[in-house]
Amino acid sequence: MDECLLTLQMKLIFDKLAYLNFSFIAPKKQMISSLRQGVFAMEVSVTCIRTGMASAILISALLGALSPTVADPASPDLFNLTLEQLMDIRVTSVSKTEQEVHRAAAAVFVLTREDIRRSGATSLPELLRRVPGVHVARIDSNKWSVSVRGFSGMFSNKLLVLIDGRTVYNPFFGGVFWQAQDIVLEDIERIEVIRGPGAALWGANAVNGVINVITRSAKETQGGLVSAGAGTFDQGIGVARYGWSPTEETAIRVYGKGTRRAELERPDGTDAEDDWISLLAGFRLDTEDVWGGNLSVQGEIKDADAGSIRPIIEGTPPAQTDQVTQSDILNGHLLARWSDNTTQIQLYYDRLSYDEPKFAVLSYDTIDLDLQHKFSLGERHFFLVGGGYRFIHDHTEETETIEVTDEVRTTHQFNLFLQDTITLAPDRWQLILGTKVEDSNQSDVAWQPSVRVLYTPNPDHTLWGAVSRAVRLPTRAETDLSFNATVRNIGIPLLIKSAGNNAVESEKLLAYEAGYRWKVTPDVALDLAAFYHRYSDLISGETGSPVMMGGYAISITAFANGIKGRIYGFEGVLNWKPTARLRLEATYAFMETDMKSTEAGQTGEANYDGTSPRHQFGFRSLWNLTDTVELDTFLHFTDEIHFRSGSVSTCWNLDLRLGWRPREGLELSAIGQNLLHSQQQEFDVIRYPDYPAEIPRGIFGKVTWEF
Amino acid sequence: MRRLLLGSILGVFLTLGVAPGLGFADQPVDEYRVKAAFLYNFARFTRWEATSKNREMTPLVIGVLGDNPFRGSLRRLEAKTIRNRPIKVRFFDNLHVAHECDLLFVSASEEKNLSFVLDLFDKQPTLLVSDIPDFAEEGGHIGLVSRGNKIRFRVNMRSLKDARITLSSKLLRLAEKVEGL
Repeated sequence: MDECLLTLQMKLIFDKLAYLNFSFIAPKKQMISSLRQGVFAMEVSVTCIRTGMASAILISALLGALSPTVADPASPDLFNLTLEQLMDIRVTSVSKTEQEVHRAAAAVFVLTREDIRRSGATSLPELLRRVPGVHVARIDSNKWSVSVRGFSGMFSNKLLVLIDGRTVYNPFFGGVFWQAQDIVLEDIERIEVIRGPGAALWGANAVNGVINVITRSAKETQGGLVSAGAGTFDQGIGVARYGWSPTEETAIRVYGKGTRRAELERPDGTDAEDDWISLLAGFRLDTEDVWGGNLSVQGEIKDADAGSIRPIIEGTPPAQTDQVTQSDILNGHLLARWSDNTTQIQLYYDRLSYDEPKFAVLSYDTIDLDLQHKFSLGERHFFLVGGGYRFIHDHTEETETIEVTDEVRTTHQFNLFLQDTITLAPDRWQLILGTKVEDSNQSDVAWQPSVRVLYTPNPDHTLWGAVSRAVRLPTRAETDLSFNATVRNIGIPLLIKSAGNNAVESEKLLAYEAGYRWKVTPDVALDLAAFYHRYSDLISGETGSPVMMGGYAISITAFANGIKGRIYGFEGVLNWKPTARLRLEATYAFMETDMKSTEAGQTGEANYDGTSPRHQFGFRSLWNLTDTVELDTFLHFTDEIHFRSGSVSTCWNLDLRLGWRPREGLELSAIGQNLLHSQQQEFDVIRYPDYPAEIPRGIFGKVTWEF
Repeated sequence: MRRLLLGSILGVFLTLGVAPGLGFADQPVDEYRVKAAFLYNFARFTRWEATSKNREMTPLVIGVLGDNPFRGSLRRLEAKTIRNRPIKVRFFDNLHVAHECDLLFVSASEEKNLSFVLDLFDKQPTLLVSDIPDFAEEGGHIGLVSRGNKIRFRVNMRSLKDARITLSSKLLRLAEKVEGL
């Protein structure tokens, strides 16, 4: 957990007695008067404690400073116990994260390690179903649409996903190759999800939300872990990890994971050919006291082989045949992060190569350097400044599906950001002003400012509001690639192609948000957020008139900034711990999409209208039946979603997990997946004709042993 | 109203077929309720050098400096006495008054000011307890640490000696001892 604290190191000028009259714990008021009297010189610096500062600027950056005091819950008497007995009691603690989330000036939701373990989920996207306002639809065994506040799609491109500070957004199509992002779920410390724009801090593509996955420090994963699972659909998942400390300051873990998933069926009963194998191996090293700070080095290499059925277009005149293709995705990265009390420097190299003959053969190398620094100015201003440089070298080959003008493209991106957290009234009002400015050789300068206000009348209530601007940069697919999408028969073959357009501009969002959090009692918490998002220059595919080519026709769908519109809605989370053994959570998200073409006659809006559900409901319970037996449920509802090709009907579903921990370190669990339907389609085709599969009911069993 | 709300929520969950668990043997307890009980025990097994302020019948003051993580669990100590001294629990955000305590719990919110606090209480007869990491190593008297999900404590003999505070052997037997400043 990263906690940023303001350190006030005061230097005594006069005598010690002067200090005694000086309240530094609540420094704001008295410090000012003391300073006026010239009693002190003050050195103000900012301290970030704990290692693993990956998210130092994440939730904490959206925080106000508060000192919570909460009313007493009734409690049995522990004072009669002896010290020996006390030392034997197992304790639970309210995490810093919980406190931070309560005070954040944004719509934040956190999945903790406990949530992850007890979800029974076997992949990152499946975990994200549990987050309110996130729409997760499984397209087939190895593809997902994950989106926040609208714009669902396999390449839902308005969401930024980070794993330990490293972006996994793909610059070709936008979105994330989820099949290449397998991860050791046991090593995740938490997943922070911010709904709404986070661009002022995280930059381009953090338009509708940011998902930030933070893995545990190597110090937290000492010893061994072996986990093996098998099921009807997740056929086999094996994890092995070992962590040790070569010196007192240093901890290392090495790990590996293998996953095999079965192929599913298409709605017409045929095989989807979408089976999926993923292997990964990696390490993480954390060490203290390196140049006065902490150093974290991590690296990973992954290999995913995933099948698909693609409509491959070949020949002249063009003819489309559905062919089974196999994609081989290799992804590796090496990341180093150094941080001390005030500063963080992060450098990483990431390479992804995607090889699916006849469909897409491409790769990209990314080098990213990121700097952050925090400091206070006076008593009221807390600054976070930073800058970064990202180098992307990408390469794509011509295939039956993709035509390219430039096989290679090099992108240089620069960014600077500044955020000032201004304390208007100590412990009550805060104003957070921030902006990020980005420039690159592929796009124009983008300013992404935000204004946030945080009001905390007392520790139990938090009110916040925000106005922010965010942009999404056009992807390569939208600027300079052409796709053979499909061939229709209109008497003669009609080839429908999409063509990139170098003139497309960034998509823009202006977002108005407000939220309210209420700790009703120590055990009941309510979190509400409402949003009104105004989009302009959304990129659409505008279908042109067919052109005769001799024996066949071509219709080109060109990308243009052809849509504007708005999405508004709200999300709510109600948490309740009726007893120490039971935790309940109900979530609800509502949104309305209203898109229109910027010019008459354009056709693009159908791309966006309706692909995200209007209503989503989730209910989770984590229940300790006994000290060793856990029963966990997740019931969720997704409203109907609409596509050009038809619609996917409303869907209720249920996941169950029964866990048994017969002894320390050993856990057995049985998981029921999608229990309410034998199989159900969750998504459909948007732009590219991918074939959705039906997601089946599944049973999964797992044994985890930690030693 | 609040009760009504809770009642109706409970009703909803019960009809959904999820009943709260019953039977609480060995269930985890909120860490600060346990830590409050630790503080009580520390106070019981500590001897302060005799001064005017710790005579019988004068209140034994247990203070919290900074944010109060105990919620109300510490206040319940006021029903108790230690060696005929009634317990008084006080919350401080000002070090000047914090000096009146016999035992001072330094809240994690004060981590940023730790060295300052320790300087200020150097050689003073106030037993300093905290769960700030490395508290005892840094020169505090008793540091509460987590081992797995259980609580242990570490004592710094040298600072205790400087403060002329004596812990009973019963306490020391259970403690981890640290070298420190």
